[in-house]
Amino acid sequence: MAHRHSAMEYKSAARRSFEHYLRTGRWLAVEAGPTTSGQKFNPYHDPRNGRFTFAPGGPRSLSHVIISDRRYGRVDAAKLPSAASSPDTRPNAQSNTSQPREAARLTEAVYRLEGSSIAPELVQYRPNPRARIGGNGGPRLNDPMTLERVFPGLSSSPAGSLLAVVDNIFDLTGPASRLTTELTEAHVNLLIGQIRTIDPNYRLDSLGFPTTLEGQANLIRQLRLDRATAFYRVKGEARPLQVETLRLMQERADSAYAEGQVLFDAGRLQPRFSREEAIGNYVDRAVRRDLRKHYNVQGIDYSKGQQIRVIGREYDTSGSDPTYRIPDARVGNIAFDVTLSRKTLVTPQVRGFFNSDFRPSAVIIIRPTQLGPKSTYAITRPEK
Amino acid sequence: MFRSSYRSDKPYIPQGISEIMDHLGSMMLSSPTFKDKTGYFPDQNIDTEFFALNEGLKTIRKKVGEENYQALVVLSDRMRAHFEADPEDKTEDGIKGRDCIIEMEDILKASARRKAR
Repeated sequence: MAHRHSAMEYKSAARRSFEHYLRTGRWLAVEAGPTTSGQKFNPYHDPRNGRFTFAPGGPRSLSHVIISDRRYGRVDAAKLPSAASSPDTRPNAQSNTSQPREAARLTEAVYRLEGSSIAPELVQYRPNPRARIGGNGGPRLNDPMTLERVFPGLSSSPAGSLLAVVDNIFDLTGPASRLTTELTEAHVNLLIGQIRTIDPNYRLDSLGFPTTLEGQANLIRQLRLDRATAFYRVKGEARPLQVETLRLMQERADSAYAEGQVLFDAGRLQPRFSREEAIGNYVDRAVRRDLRKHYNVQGIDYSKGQQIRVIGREYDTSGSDPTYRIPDARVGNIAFDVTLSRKTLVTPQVRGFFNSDFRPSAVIIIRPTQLGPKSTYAITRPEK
Repeated sequence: MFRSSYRSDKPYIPQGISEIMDHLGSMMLSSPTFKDKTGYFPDQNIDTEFFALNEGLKTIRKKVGEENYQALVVLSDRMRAHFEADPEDKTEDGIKGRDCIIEMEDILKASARRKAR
């Protein structure tokens, strides 16, 4: 730094004046002394945190760079939930598998998954005050793309830990109601841009931007699903789909539970054993039906042998007699189970999931949020 | 209204007895209007739900046998009539519609048990 400073001293007054002209368009008198530090305007911001970042085609020479990737730690891919998924398992992989690893990493750096950093401000959720003056895309929506963001510590917690879901992480209408239509539109454009970076053929036909809050929330919901689908179809990356699957299952479990309670209280559901059993039976089935419907609409194959399953037998062939368990859903190496009762590692069903051949790194227990705080949680693998 | 190039126009049709059981379970809760409250399926309504159910029943026609299939179709039609007669879920028709679901479930369970033997 000292060397550079001393080099500046050798510049002539005329040269300094010319540099100032190039920067500002104004001439300085040659006899004027050294100028004070100038100010530059940088219109490029990371939409996730409002920090300055590089322009497209900046130092990393990547197209559509919008993420200040040097400001985040590197992802330890081996620790992340779907690290086991091999590139060969991509359903519609378009990239050449012989591509050098370095190149593949750079491609992913455009929209690097956020598995490595747990941002505490996400938990607290504060709208970005800069949004009022515009230019940053507005306040951040809760938009996790990996389960690591939903269950902080998922990859680093001790074996067999129970991890609660971050408060407010799936709140869609809350943040949306705090946004203006203009800011929501900016977020929608951001999502569309992200999807098109992964899949340039992606198209969204619309009769106009939704005017109602409900319509805007549905649009954002749909785009998040499409982004997860794009990651899975094009890159073979299941992590965003794990988050969207959890979101869908949670929202359906909540609505189904509410519907079940109303029906039961009105005497329109007949209990065979108990109230919870009567409602829970239907909640499970409603969630599974909607999950299949969702995968069907999105063109995601969930048949036998796929990374995605709904009510698929997961075998444990380690013993002399193969046994199996049936989780409600499986996405990559995560098992999902919808239930009203609390299940832990002591529950034989959960242990059975972990023992199955696909070796889940975590089992996510989804319970209606009406049952109280921390109703939904993840159980990490008991032994690494 | 918006539609992405990822969304298929092909409606979801439940395949097999277990998927139809899940479909009936979902219908039980969302009856009598069958509107989706999550926002994921804004187009869902009584027509789409009964289309899926009746098409799904066709896929198990051989499995359950002709007699059971016809009974299931009759129950499906009766169920729809009850729910259409009581869209606000305030009369006996709502209860009768759900009774049809339970009857259909019983037939499907019996068929699945018979097949498992």
